[in-house]
Amino acid sequence: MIKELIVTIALGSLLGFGITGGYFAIKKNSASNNNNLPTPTPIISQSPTISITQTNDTSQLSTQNHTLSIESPENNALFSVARITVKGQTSPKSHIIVTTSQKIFTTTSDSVGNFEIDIDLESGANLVKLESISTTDEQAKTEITVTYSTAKI
Amino acid sequence: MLSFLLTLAAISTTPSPTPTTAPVTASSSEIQKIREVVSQKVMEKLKQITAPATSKLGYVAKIIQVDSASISFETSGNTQNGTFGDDLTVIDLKRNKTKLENLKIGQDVLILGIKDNQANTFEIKRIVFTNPAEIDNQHTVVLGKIVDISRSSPIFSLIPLGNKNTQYQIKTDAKTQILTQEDSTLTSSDLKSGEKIIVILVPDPKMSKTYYAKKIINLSYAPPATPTPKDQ
Repeated sequence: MIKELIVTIALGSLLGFGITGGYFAIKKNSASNNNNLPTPTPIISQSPTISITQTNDTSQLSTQNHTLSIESPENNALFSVARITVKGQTSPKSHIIVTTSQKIFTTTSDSVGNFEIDIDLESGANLVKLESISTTDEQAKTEITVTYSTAKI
Repeated sequence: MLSFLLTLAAISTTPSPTPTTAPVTASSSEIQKIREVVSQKVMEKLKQITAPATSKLGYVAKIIQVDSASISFETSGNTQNGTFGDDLTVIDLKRNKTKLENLKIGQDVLILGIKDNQANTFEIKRIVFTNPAEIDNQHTVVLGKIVDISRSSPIFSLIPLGNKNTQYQIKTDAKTQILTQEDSTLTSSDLKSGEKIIVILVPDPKMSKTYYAKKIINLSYAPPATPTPKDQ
């Protein structure tokens, strides 16, 4: 009986100390965690810097943004007819100038920047140069080589 | 029991994960870049899906290696290979048929054939000897401002908007096409100093450092005001 009583007291003490110790440990840890939390970056204080950067970037981006790409024909395409259509994308309302070795063709891109222009190829290989001039006087250019041949391929 | 308590204590002392990243706000330029990349990828995939099984191609090339059955050539900085078709035709500079043996390393040629897009092979049907000068496109497009116009000769000076350290001496003649932005025809007398124009020019073979304007688009042109009749 005495033996059982001693065991019960010992277990009770252990349980009591354990719970009390655990409680204080949790409390201490949560306090230290609060101190280690990352400080949120004040968004408001950053805003002016961001807006200035974006303003500067906008002018650079607008230069980079004026691009010219050819959707068709593909580079090195071979045609059996002289008249072909060149399609592509650039900035809206840009002047598009397409040249072959002998001829010049001009058009304007539409309100979303798409353009389509018929050109006449010279017999044989043609270096077709495209140049786009935006409404803000930015220039972009590209070129492709296409071949016109009536030979049976 | 003790191990349970110790485990409990250990769990409670383990630091809980804390958010380490601040909320990310993408700028409009970044969103635009992402859109462009996604758009490009979609276009590439669409091209792959819709690409025909074969394509007729023509390469302006320089021969690197040639034997009786195949050829390697350099085009736009890339090396390509092709095999000769049974019906291969070789044309020399005088536009006459010639033998395959006359193909030499370093020769400038136009190579025509059919590319199998699935097998990635190129069967050559025709090889034409070429003179690279004939393919050259000497047109130059310049956006600039007229800084000086000669009244005694059809020559004016132009400074490009993109490079103010350069000046072009540009000659015009009766064949020069001069237009407004709306494609109305103008004459050389309509060009004024200070006007912004797009010029498509070629080098003048007769005069060094002078260019010949084949086409001019006058971006500054404003038609002269029509006099309004006075009310009496």
